[in-house]
Amino acid sequence: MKSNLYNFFTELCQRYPSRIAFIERGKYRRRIWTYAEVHERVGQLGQFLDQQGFTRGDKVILCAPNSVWWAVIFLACMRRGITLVPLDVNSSPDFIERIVSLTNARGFISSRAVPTVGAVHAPVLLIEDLPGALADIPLMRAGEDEPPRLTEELEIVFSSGSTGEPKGVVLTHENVYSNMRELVELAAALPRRFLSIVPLSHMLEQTGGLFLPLALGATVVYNYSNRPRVLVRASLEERVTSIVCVPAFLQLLRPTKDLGRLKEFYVGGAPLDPALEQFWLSRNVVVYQGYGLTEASPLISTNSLNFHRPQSVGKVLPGVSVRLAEDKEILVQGPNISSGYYKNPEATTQAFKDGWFATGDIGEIDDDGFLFIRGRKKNMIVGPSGMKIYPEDIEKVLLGQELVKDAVVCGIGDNSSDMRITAVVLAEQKLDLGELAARVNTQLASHQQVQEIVIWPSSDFPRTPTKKVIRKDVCEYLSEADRDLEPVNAPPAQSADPVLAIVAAVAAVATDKVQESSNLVSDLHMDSIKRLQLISQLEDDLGAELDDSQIDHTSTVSDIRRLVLKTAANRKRILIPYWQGSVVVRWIRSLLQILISIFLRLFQRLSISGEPPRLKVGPVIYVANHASHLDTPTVIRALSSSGSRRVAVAAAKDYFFKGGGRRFFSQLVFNAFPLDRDGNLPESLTLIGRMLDKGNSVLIYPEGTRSQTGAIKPFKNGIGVIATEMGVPVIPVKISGNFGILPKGSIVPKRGSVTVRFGGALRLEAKASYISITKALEETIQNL
Amino acid sequence: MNVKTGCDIVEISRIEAMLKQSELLGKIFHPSELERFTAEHLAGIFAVKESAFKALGLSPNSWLKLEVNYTPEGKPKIIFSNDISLVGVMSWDCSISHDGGFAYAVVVVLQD
Repeated sequence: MKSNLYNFFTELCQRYPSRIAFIERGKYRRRIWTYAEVHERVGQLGQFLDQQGFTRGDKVILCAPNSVWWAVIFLACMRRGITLVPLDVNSSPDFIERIVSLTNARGFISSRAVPTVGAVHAPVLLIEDLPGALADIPLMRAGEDEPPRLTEELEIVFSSGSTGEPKGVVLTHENVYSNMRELVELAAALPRRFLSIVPLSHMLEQTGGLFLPLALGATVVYNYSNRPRVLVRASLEERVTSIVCVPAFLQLLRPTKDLGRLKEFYVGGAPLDPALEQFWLSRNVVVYQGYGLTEASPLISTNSLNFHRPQSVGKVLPGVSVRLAEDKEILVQGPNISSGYYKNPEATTQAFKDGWFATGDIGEIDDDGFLFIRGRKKNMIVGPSGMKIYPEDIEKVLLGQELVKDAVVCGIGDNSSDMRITAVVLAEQKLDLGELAARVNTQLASHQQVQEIVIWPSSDFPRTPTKKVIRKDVCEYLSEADRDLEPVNAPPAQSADPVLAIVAAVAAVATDKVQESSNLVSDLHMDSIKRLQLISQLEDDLGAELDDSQIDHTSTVSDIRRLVLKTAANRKRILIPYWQGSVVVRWIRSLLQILISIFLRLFQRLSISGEPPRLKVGPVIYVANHASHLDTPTVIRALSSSGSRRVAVAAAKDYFFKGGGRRFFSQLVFNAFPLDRDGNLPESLTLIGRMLDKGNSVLIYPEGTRSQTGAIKPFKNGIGVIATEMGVPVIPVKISGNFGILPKGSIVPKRGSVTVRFGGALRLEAKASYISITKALEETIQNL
Repeated sequence: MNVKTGCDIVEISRIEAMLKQSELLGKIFHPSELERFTAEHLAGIFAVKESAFKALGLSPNSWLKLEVNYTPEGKPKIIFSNDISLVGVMSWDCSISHDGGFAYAVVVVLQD
């Protein structure tokens, strides 16, 4: 029996074991997961869930940002017949607790990255602890467990951020599986790489961004951050071809010049502005708009390679039936349609009538079978003459106007006789609202005429996690009648200079109050929290990783600008040149290292205690004390005896990387990379991560410089951060004796004996402080 | 002997606004400090750190160079990293208070 999601997935893993399923981009590390590996982890996690006492039919809540582990947890629950309840990461602790008690959830899985997790009163399993928990669980043999039946509940999807009673959509294996299969039929078999953006707690991302890629044997890239700049960089570096997203993201990406290999967007969740679709088409990126709802797992119709009509949401999927009610409401039926809401018969009977699910959307179908969405039934405004007005129609016209970034149309008034059509717009700069209203009204029918346009008083509308405008909140704000919305009070004009604009926004002053020479503290009154927010805003908007140790109370706006420029320049500079890791150079390096070891033998008697890790452990970080220039060749000599010769050495930037011969020599012979001893930790972490990703172990001397007495100096705090963030074993190394052979300042080596002691791999506690890790490392090496 | 003090007051709602910015939090707090993840608690730690910068005359970006920990009795204590020079410092202490949506901390340092 092949026909369920789990068997389907297992078969895929057997078909493409060595294909790349996921690419996990951490802040500093990048990890590749093959289909075979995903399958192994899923099997192990399934057994782990068994051990934890979970059984078939239990509910498990998952509230975590998108990640490879999210997918693994989903697949493991699917395999075990456990019903998953995915929740949005921005759910309040109250909401989570309500869902826990409503569903009688047996488990709550979350992540350290979820801010509210500490405040939830329920035992929690953290994703960060899973790799450790699975380490001792044996792999599972195929066919060991009973596959779930199609009729079993796969998941319950609650609408996020809703007020009132949470409504959970129950989806079975069959619902989701049938939807995915139809989608696979439509998608041409091209090599694709997806970048994951929409939260996996939404069906759009689950079916379009996870099951579809897996079913196609494609790759999904999970990035650690959702900041637009970081996403664009991820998309370029990973050569992403396909993105599943909501229309707002297309707008956000508009100014991006280089798109690499991006070929297609799969868009859903909100109406797509036709101009936006055109814009992307002109850049050779196809936008496939689809239509769906959580209740439909989620897809009802979509455009595809073979049939594509702008402005429509495509054709109804085979196997799914759609008909229009008298009022043109879209009714739908099919194997993908949910059987109802969880423990909510009232809502279920309201939405499901005679086997048809009422979507609440008003639509039309043209002669060729393309579906068009007019708007939400509940958004419909009944005008004074009883005419039905769809705000979406008016919004489309508004969006087509220059300077209008977004618009919401509300009917304000208690009953249809005094209904006023009011538009709220987000504007890029000050505009003449009277003139705008006149211009818009010429394009609208008489019953659609806009009576008033106001500017929304803040920089964006309230939005759901998928960036949909929360229309209700906007309209409620408007209808609190006497609230004085100043219609002419447009937001301050955006300054052309982004640094100035960001500084002004964080300081909450007008742009013209900010001068190049303005001091952040004395002139702009930024306290430490505001300065931190400034850094974070600059990083978000400009994609700059700032060396924040350079920003203090003496900094001026021009200092900030200099820092931003410096980071931009730094990113362009290649800190680890390509040749350094090339096969030929590696071969030459091995040879040179052998020669150096032979040279060392002339005057250095080496004894080794403890055992360095074997090659198959993968890269590690060696942390060693430092008293002589001979330390690096000595460690390499000691390591070569165990065969683990691929080491990259962190070398002081200000000493070894000033340029010229010293730099070239260190890069060639010791695979050295620059480490900034005074501060710039983000850069160091990035470089170390890159070296580890390439399969090199890294050797670091945390004292920062060679000891002048031979005694071990206090370790710098950065090593604690490095050890924690890199996620590889840390091996303490104590070198004694080189100080007597070649101390700092000396150039002629004396004869002597040296001992290199390798300590056991240190298990770092994820919850420890960097300071305690630094001190523990220092103590361990002292006592070796 | 010299006595140095530093104090700081933080509006808890401002820390609350940061809770969703995990990268920003990572610049200020150690993983150990983030373990008890409430805005009130973090605001107290934030205030202690800021007070310590003032008392010791440190650069205001030294967030991760000190850690705020708790004794079994629940009293906060500061642990300094090696990156902070404590030459001449004999002893130090800190205290936190919360009220009316604010967290307040004071740090006292004794120097010879």
